[in-house]
Amino acid sequence: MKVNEYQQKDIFEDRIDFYYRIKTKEVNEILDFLRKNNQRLVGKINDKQIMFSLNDVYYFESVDKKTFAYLDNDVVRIDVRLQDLENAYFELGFIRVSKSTILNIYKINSLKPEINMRVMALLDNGERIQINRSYKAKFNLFLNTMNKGGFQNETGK
Amino acid sequence: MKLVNKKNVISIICITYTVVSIVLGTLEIIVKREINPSQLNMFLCLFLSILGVGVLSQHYRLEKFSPLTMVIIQYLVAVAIILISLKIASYFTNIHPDGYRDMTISFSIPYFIGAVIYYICLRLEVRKQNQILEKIKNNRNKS
Repeated sequence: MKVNEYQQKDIFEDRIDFYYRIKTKEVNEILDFLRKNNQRLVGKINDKQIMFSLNDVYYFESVDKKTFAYLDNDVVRIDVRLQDLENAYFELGFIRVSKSTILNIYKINSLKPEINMRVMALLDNGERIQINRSYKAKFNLFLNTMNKGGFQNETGK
Repeated sequence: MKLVNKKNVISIICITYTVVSIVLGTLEIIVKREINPSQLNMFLCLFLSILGVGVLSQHYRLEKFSPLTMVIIQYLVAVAIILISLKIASYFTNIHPDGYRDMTISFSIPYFIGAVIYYICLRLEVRKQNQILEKIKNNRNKS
């Protein structure tokens, strides 16, 4: 496969055009990777609108019926319900771990059982998120599905 | 349609055994108009089982507490119910002076063994989850 890259400073947005003859497994994987890395969300920090990549989100949290996305250093308020986020992005590694939190599993450094029998997710940014026990079974199933290749493989069977 | 299969055969045997034992025991008590110690023991075990399942079924109400707190609360509630029941029973039948202590120990030992097993299973489960997480991340980095 021939790969060309061009720098063009006057375009409004970065762009990838992908030409293929037949949609092979490899093509699908590349498209899938590009789509996953191209998910963007719009939110507000102190009334200033910003755009951020879904890959940068550590977790979403609902506080007082407001939804926030937690990035490395910022907390962005977004106008999307937690339930909608869960439905839209579960294939990309986002799983609900409590009534008010959806976690990006790719940002989990490790899981740790505590002496009080709670399970905590230690994130790459040092934060700790509790995995609620009523969501534990769903979380296990989610990890196993992702390990087997994700939900697209699941539905493709 | 197969009513009994590999998944439910053990549950069905347990349920059938329980129902048969209780019905026959109850009939014998009615016919003979007296209750012997083994029948009393059987009904006591039935009561403890109902109590145990009842307490465990309410664990979702304690969701805001940590599992350890929940285990302790459920244990205290269960022991309180057992001791109150014994006290009530003592008005109808003679209870050995060590009865309260023995009953508490009989309940506590299996309960705490269960709690320890739960914690060990949790640690093993988390270890497995960490391995899966590592694999998922590696697979993503490779692609």
